[in-house]
Amino acid sequence: MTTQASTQLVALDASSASREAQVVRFDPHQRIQHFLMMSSFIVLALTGLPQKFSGLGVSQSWVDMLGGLQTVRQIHRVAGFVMLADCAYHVSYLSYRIGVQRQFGCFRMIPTLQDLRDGARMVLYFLRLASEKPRFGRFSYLEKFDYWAVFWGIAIIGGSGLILTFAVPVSGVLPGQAITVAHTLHSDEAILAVGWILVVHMFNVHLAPWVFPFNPAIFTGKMSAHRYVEDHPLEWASLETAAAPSATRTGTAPSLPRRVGTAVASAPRRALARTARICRDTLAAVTTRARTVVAGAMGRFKR
Amino acid sequence: MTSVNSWRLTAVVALMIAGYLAGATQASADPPAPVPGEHVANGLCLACHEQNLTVDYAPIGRRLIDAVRGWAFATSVHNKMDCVECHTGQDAIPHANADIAADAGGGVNCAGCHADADEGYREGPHGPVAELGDARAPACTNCHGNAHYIQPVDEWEEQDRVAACTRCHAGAGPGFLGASPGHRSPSAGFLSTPYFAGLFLMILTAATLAFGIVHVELEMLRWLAARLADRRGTNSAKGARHDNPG
Repeated sequence: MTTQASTQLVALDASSASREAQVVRFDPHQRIQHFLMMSSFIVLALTGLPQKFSGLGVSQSWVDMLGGLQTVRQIHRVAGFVMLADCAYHVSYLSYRIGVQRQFGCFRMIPTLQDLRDGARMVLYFLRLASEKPRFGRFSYLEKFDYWAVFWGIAIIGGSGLILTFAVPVSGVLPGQAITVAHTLHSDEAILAVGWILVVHMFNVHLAPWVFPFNPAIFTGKMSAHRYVEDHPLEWASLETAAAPSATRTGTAPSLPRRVGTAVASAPRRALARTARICRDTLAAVTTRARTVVAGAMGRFKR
Repeated sequence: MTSVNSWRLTAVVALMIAGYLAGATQASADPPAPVPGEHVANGLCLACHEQNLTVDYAPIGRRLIDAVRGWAFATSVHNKMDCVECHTGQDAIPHANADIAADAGGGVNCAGCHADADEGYREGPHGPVAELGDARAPACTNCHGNAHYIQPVDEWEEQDRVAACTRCHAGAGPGFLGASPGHRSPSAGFLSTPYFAGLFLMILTAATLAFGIVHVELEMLRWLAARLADRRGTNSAKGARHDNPG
């Protein structure tokens, strides 16, 4: 999730032509949130999977090495609370961005019909039925899927984890079967989460031959301009246009402006401000219309 | 057996004979000397094991041999069974100390008869606790009570079942009973909510991972195809994206 404030270009040591320009893609909050999510996820997987596959010798050896099941469960629960706290951090961060700072860049993470079209076009491209890949903006359909998968994952695995942690008090409020359901959901969703992260997420961000061995963007916050042009050409185009309106976009290696920053970020900011204004106006019109209808109904009622 | 007062020994032998005569189908005037594999009547076992006797079994120490109340055993679900069907290896009298030690260490294998329940236990919430060697793992008797007096769980009073849970889960109430699937896996007809929740997750997992894996594979194949095309010096533009990593 990002905001337009983080959508800016920086020229790292612009005086040195040998060093490649970079794009700021993630702000410090987002990087901290990802780090907390990643580290707690790894700990949860390492302490949860041996419990799911408890019949395996390797699970028993691993649990023994960690100090026994009681210790493993305590570690697992602490990591779970770290993940839930991270989730709360993220939601608070978004609320602050939207509610206080009036920044609406995060709405670009909301899936649209264009994502379906992009997905279909990508399949055609994979099958050599289309010569060009779809051109992505700030987030591709797969990145959106990654993000929302965490949301549903937290809801399912976090909620069920809380039920299992507080099984006795919960059984006083919910039917006892809720604990059995939570047990099923918790362990099955874990397989989905670990499978997706290991196979799909790791491939897309690190292991794909055109990225391998490592994409540091989520840790440093910065992404090479070359990579940005290839992965997010639509957003790059808007950034480039804002920075140098007269320049022609070639789609090849970008020539970054020397002076970058707020001027570059102003284009998406203007677009978002316009979107926000339209939303506000629409809301005001709907509210006025609703008041009129209610007032008319009340008038008839009084008569 | 050692260190038993002579009058007690006499009484025990007399009771053994009486018990054998009462329970055995092939009565004999002499004290019995069963051999392994031969039928041992419960009356013979109870002749000693209904007594409040302590016996010194070196090296495991003094032990109360009073294990069973015959009248209570007669009302339990196991009352049609012979003692040695569960207490295997105990059919030689006097018992060898090695056999006694094995039985004292939980040598009775409930799963031998209750295979389904054992499977359900291992698949349930208590299974990992036992399999991962946690000392808190409940044995069968921790929840079901002494196997000699056991009654079908369906016939337990609710408070008895709650009491079984509260031995480990302090504060558990009647609502907690619904959390136990009773050593049965959920199915459409039994615990249908957990069953369909599991089914939903299984379909969701399979569909999501299939989508992701197919996507990865197609992307890799497309990349490989572009690389091959480039090597042949044809159609390099199609692979431009992947051949020019950032």
